[in-house]
Amino acid sequence: MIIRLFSAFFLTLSLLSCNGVQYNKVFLSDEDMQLGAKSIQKTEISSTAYREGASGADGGNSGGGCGCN
Amino acid sequence: MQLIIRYILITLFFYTSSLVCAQFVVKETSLDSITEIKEKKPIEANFLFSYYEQDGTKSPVTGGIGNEALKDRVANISLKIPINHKVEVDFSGGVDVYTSASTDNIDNEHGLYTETSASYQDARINGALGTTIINEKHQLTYGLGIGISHEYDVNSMNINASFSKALKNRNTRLYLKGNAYNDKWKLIYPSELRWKYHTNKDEIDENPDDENEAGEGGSKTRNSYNGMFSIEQDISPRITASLTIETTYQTGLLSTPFHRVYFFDSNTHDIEKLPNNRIKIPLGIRLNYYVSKFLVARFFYRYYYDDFGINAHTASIELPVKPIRSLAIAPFYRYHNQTASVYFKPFGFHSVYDEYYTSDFDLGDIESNRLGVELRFSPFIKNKDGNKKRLVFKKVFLRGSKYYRLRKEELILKSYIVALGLNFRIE
Repeated sequence: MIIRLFSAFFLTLSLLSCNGVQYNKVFLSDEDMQLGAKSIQKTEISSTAYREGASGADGGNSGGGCGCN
Repeated sequence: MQLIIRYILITLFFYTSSLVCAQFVVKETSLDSITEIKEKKPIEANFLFSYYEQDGTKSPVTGGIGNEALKDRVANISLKIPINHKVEVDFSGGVDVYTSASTDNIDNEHGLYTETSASYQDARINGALGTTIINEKHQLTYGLGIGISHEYDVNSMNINASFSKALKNRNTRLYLKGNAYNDKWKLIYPSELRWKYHTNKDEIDENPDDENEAGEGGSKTRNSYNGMFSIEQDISPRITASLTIETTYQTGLLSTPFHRVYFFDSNTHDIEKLPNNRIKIPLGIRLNYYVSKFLVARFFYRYYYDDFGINAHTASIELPVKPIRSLAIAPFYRYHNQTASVYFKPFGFHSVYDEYYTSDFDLGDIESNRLGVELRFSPFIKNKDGNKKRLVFKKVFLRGSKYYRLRKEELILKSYIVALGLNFRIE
């Protein structure tokens, strides 16, 4: 079910990307529009990964290099 | 598993096909200058300090009960040094100093002793060096890096390689990254069980490194291999999104040798035992929406699967509000929910006949909430000295949050973290 939702979400994005829009990057290059984790989140993401069995795909470490799971 | 892989492949197929299609349709009208480096970039120096404190009641060192109080102080510096238009060198280094009531009980089974032991405090140092090669003409970047870290019971080294490409209109960016970690764990057992593992080493030490056999039980390795693929897509002038798929394979010692496990059908107890292999597959999506010059909405969702039996959902929202150009105030909330590993049971619920067992609530059926706020101040400072190089303060970040971990609606751990970031440039 989850994978189907992912598929549907990105299929929609894909179709949107074919619409020929001429993108102005003024808004997209705003600092808060950057995708990915911020450098200030580094220790927060690490501490969370130590306390939860699930990690990765969020800009943090997903195993190795520390005493986390 | 096959079904999951099939859907991932189908998704990637449709997505990649449409990206190729987009290259023919979308005109190259980008005003973006993110990857343009016609002028030499300044050296960037970033400092990060953080303080973390937690309190909990389910320490795995004492079998899933007991004090989990922990304090961690971190200082970190990272430098980005452009050598020329095509090559950048990155360096980062830092130190963590932590005190832990939990590891203090490695030699204190029932937590009866009030005096602290050598395990109460430790420090971890780490460093990383990397280089990035930029091919502006083809909008490609290649990266290579190495890293090391050291603490009392774990030494780690890693290598990584990365590749990224912005497609012609720069509406689409592709990222590939691979990491390999080699961790060497010093085997430190609970004091009352050392006689067992030091004398019956053959039973548990299947791949000993024979470095310190007579002392603390020798050492074992853990190898982790991680591959990451990410696509970023600008959907409209105000919306951008990304899909990230990671796969991590770990092999070697995946349990922690000083975690205790207590059984319902035996008067004895043992150390945690987990399989020697683990596969983790997280899939994450991000979507950022530029509402207005005063507000941006940032969304994140992750689905996580691993072969220890954990399935997890994580979602977060962050709303940076910018009352003036130089100031951003960003409240955020994160929710996480996971099922328990098939190897997890709480204190006293395992059978001595189980093949694998752990009472580490990190692998348990838990949910968590994190609520916090980030402040960012970016003063506009003119360089008055012409060509003379100087250190220029660019930004200061202050980010703090509280974290609550629950199991069956019982609060079992709470923590808070405060981080201060300072960004400078040498211009």
